Amino acid sequence: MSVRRAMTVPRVRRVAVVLGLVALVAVPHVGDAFQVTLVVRGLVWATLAASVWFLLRICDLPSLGHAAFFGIGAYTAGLAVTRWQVDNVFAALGLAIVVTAVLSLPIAVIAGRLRNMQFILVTLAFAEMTRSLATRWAELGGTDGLVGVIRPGAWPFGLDLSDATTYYYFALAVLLAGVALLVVVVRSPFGAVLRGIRDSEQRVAALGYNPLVYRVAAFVLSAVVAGSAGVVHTYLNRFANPTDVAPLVSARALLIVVLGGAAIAGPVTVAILLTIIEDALSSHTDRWLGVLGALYVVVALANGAWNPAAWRRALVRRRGGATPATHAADDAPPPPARRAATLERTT
Amino acid sequence: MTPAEAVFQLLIGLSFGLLLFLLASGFTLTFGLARFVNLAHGAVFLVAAYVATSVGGPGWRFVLGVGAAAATGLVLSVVVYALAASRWRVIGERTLVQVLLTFGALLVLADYARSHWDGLPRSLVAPSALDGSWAFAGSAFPVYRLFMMGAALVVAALLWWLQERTSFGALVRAGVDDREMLAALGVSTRRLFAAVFALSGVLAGLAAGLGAPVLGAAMGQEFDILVLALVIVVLGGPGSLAGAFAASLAVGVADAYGKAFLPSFAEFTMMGLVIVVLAWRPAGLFGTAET
Amino acid sequence: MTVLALENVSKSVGGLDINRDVTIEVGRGERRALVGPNGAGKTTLMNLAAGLTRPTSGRVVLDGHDVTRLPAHRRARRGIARTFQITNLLPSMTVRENVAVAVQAGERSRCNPVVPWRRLRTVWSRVDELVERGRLTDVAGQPVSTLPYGVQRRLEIVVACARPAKVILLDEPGAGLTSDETEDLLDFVFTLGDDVGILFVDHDIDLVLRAATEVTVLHLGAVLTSGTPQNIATSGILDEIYLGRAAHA
Repeated sequence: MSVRRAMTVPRVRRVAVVLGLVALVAVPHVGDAFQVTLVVRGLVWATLAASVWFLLRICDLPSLGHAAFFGIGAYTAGLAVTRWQVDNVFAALGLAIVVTAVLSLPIAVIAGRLRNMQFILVTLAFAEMTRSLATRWAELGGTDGLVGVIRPGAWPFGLDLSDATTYYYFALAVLLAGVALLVVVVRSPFGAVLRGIRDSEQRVAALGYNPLVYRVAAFVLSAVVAGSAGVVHTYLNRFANPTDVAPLVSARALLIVVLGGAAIAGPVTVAILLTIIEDALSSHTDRWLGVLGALYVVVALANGAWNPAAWRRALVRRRGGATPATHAADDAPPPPARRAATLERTT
Repeated sequence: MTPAEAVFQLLIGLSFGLLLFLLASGFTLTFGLARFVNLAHGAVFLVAAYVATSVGGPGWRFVLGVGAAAATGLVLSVVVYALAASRWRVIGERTLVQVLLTFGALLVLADYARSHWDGLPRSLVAPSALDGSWAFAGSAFPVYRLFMMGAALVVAALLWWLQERTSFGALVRAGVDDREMLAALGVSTRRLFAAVFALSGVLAGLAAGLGAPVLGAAMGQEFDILVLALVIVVLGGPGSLAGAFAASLAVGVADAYGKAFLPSFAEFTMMGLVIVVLAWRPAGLFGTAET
Repeated sequence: MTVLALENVSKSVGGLDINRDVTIEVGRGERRALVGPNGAGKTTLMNLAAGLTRPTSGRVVLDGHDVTRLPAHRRARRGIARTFQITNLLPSMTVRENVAVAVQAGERSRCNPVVPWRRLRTVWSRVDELVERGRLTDVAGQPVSTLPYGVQRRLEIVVACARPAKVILLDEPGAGLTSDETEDLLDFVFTLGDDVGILFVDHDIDLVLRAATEVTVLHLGAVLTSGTPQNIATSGILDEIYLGRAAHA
């Protein structure tokens, strides 16, 4: 009885998270410079995936345009160093956050009224607009983008970001800060309202909340996290270019969230693993994109069987208890397709 | 911009728009009826286009090329459907799993095209009878485009006849309105879906084949075409052929004008217009308020 | 003292007249029942009152203020509470959490993005009060989706009435419940305050006649008659419209 109690779901999850963190912290000590850089790319994607996760899983808004905010952050970081004489990575980060927040606001207001396919389209259209601008505007370097971006200083921490290991920990810090921020928000009263709107916009509106305002705020927050990922990306590669704003970027981020499941740890893990897998694949074959596609197909088809949340519920039911309620339900059950009342009777 | 130039570009735009309609009509039907987001549709077009350029050739071989493209479209679409149907209970209602599945299919198809044709763009020469241009408004309007418009209109008319005048079409229209009711009436929705997928594949293949002398086949089309199809379907209203028709023409003309008169900002303007339309009319230009 | 008034409200959709020139007034402390066969336009009237749809013509007046142009959430803030015909709760959350979302709608803290939710003492203590009054203490920690139907209906009412309201709209509160269960629910609502106006729809005529202080009869989109339950019961009009025959003397 006590062993079973000890192995409750939240506890297993916590252990897994701690192990994952330990592994991430240990990476620079076990890998060479190339491998470390590879994992940094994974961390960037994890940060972007976290931002898409927040919109999709907490707000039920599937964005196919987060490349726009990623790109805005990336280009702002590049411009900060090459044009605006900003020599502090935290200042650059702050600047990117502000710029992304401001530019995301109009599209947030428009998209906030839309659902499903229209939401997908409007976010995609916005990303394509941004990409068009990035490609055509001479000021932004055109198809070559911004090159020669030197990693800035890190005052007040006297760190040298050009060192691979130091930069790794910077990227990890950004990821953890982003994830922590999102988790805090999900667990806050504001986050509770967001989840309520996801479950039933009508009910929440009937209680006096304005769903649009909440959605807009959530959208901007998500955009800001995506923008931060862009900053890390630019300083990692030392350039920013229009491929950062490509539809493939948005699609990949969305796919990672789909693959990763309901809790935030999922997409974060998938992002890092997928980056490593893709690298391994591409060094073995030219046709790695095809292999990846086949993998997606297989996972999609197996998806009926792959449902950790359902497994957990079945496991708990067999033990004869109700599923323990957690306040921070970032573990979201599949959204209800219809508001069907269960017709069980108590007699 | 002189009025003559404006009309010229209008015709260019309409011809492209009609081609887009062939492509988008299949997409809107599969989405409207089966609620299925088929992201592989653009990649089907891509492979069909490459097939058209390979099989097709001068003279009568052109027809062969178009036919082969249509057949390729048919086969590939049915394969995608078969994959989805194998797990329909899970995939059928879940948009995100569909996205995963069809995006994976897109990558596989695009990769196949890239490796089989070395990633190089290809084109197809129009049959000599349709070569040449028509002196119009001080410019030379390609005769082939006129043929393309005509052919696309014929297909569109057939499609309209199919939807409005046959029982198959009635079933499709009914299914778009209320799928559950259709199933409750004993109609085999699986076979209906398969037929609609097959049809959408044929249409995409025809678009690829007919468009080959103008658009050719090139890597990247799997995304470009997909984006346009998505725009058309959402603006026109899912499941509505009339909406798709109007939206296709609008997109085609907007594309032509954009490229002709604002070349640096063509995509920017088009996408900006899409956003404006959605801000003003969230349900699309012709859609009903559909969730 | 009228707290809610629908004045000459009409609603047409696509050429179909759903409500025709309907005028209904609910006074403070009044329990007005809305009855009529299916298709009479009752749910649409509820939605019009709540702000889910706009009338084609006519006005909605709350406590003397014209709220016709206000969307649902603004009307909710002004004091309109409602339940839905099909249970409309937040399935991913527990019973307590559902009530908490309802309670915090009146608090500044509802937009707070940083403090942990469970730290809002004032909200949660009120939640516990309501859960107790609604006899939901046994299931308080369970996810809503696991609850039996009847309990969900009760929760729906608790959620709707979590904050003080001027008008409560109950759309078929007894749908799928036995008469006793419905009476139970209604009793809970009726204890909520003497100056709350209640407008409710139900098909159990006997229950309606016992529970209501006023009755409005709708038929084919228009108001047929209104009056006290006794008058309506003796007039035989209900037999006529529900069963299509004249009352026997």
